[in-house]
Amino acid sequence: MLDGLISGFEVALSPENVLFVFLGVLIGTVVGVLPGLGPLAAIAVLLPLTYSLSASTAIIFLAGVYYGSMFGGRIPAILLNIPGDSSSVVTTFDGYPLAQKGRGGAALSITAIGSFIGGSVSLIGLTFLAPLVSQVAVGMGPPELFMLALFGLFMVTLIGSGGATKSGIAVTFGMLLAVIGMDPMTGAQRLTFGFQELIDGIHIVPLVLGLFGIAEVLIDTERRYSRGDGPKALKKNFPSLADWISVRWAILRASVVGFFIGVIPGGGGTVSSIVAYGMEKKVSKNGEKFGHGAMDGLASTETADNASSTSSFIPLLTLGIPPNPVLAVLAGALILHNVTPGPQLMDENPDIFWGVIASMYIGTVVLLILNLPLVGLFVKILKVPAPVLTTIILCLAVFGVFSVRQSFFDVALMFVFGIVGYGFRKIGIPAGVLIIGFILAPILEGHFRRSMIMSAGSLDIFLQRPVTVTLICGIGILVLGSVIPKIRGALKGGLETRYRARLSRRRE
Amino acid sequence: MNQSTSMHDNTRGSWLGRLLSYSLLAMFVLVGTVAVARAVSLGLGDLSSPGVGLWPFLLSICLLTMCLVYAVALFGGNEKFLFPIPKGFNYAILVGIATLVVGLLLPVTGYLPALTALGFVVCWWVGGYSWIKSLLIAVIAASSVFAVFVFGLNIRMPLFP
Repeated sequence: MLDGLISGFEVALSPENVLFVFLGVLIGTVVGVLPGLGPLAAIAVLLPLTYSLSASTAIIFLAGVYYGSMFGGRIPAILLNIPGDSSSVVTTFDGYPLAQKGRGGAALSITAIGSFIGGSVSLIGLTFLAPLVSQVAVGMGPPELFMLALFGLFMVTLIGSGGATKSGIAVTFGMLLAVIGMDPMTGAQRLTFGFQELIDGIHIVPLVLGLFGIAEVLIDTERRYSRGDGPKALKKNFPSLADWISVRWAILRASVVGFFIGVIPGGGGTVSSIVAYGMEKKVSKNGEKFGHGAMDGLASTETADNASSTSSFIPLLTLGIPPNPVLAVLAGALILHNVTPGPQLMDENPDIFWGVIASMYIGTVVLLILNLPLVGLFVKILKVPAPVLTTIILCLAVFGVFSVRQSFFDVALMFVFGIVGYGFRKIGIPAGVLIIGFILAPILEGHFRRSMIMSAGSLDIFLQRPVTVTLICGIGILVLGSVIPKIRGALKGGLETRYRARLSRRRE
Repeated sequence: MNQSTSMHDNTRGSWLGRLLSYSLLAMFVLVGTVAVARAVSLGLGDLSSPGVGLWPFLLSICLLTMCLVYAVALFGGNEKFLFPIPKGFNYAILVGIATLVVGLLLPVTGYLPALTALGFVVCWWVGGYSWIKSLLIAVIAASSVFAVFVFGLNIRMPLFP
């Protein structure tokens, strides 16, 4: 493990990779600062720019954008009451009241340190846990890997945001899109409907750029950029000793909570920040101050958010299962570079596996250095006019998609997906889950077919192995846990309606 | 953000919202049905020797099942499944149509005219800038991105018709 980490640092400390770690976290912070432009849209826009890079450098760069954006998302949340991304929503609860009290600078400093500690604790966990999980996963066969991917899919669908029905539609729609093209085993065409451009399937870049980049542009333009005024000048005040004392346990607790929630498929930054905030509110002596500018509440949300973004790499790097949409796009980036994320990654591509982990140590330190003295500079980015930003994003998106296969069809497809993504956003269908379905579909199909070949077409193979049986039970529990409360609610609602109807009849 | 959400929530029950929700559901049902038909025609085979159409068939059945649940919720009056329509003119429709037009015209016009026009629409119509400022921003943005890709990354795209 130590040898691996040392070799990872050798990769991450090469001048090129250090530069891309720096660029990644810098761009990530800017992305986090700009309201609306989340890490998903940003990584989608930047993905084509990484083609000319080596696989390890590309992933190091894109990972930097991801955790950098988690770091930067707190700035508009605290100063403007506008979350840079969904995981920063909880940050506004206490961050903005603190800024209104003239303590914006202190709040930003505390959250920067909290994010650093959360990220570091999670990195240590990632370093020790990832190889162990990877070693266990290497011994798994197609039935186990199929059931594991299916379990991950159920987790994301049932636990993730958007509700089970909408997520279910998104995930199956995404899987169906992945089917388009050539059959991986026979080479026959599937669902191409005579389009020559679809023989190689739908490429992930137009899909992601459309669903997130273009859809984001459409959402942004809907109300003519009603973002409001930029932030006021930031007062240079630093946290007091009392502030540090009040947040120390909150930061540690949130680091642990964020780490574990990040590992769970469907968890991620938003869930971890909500859980950490709720937990801290219960255990804190200042519980009544939460929502009115509690420093420990603020520290817990941002710490958990950053801890989860780091630990979410564990299922991707070790099992090949992206736990959230951003990592699904990162998985897509790995596949674009002919690298398959999963149990074999540590053995076959140790430079990527350990290089990414080591780069995160460097990136976390760079983020802290960038965010403490340069916070005023990032605040100024909030004043970039939105129409200018939109125009640049549109140009980047068109060129980025075209550069993949030199196909105008892909560009048109991106715009169509943009409108679909806009529709999804309006009705609350989580497009991120669609991407997870799109990424996992070929994995599921491959393992399912191999399992069927192994068992000569008998589904009993999934009931004969302890791991698959455990995972089936897990899926069953997940489904029941999701359905039972709804049935209960419906029954209760029905009983209430009947009771009210009877009551009104009596009155009449 | 909260303001905008509440603004949308107020208009969830509008006839347009309902129409769009039913249209979206119809789109998913159509996709699922066409995929089922196509998968069956490709051949399903059996589990020991799966046909090319088996996997798409299974997925389309899943999609249609989810659509059924969606339809039950929608027709049962669940507001969460209704399309929220913002009040006033929706500029996203304008930009959406503009992007589709650019997507279709790009092979004919080349990159620079198409993207300049799109940037102009965004800055002038939606952003409310003067026409000269809009044109300037659109040309500079389109040319800068072109320069980055062509000279920085050696990726070619037809600049003009």
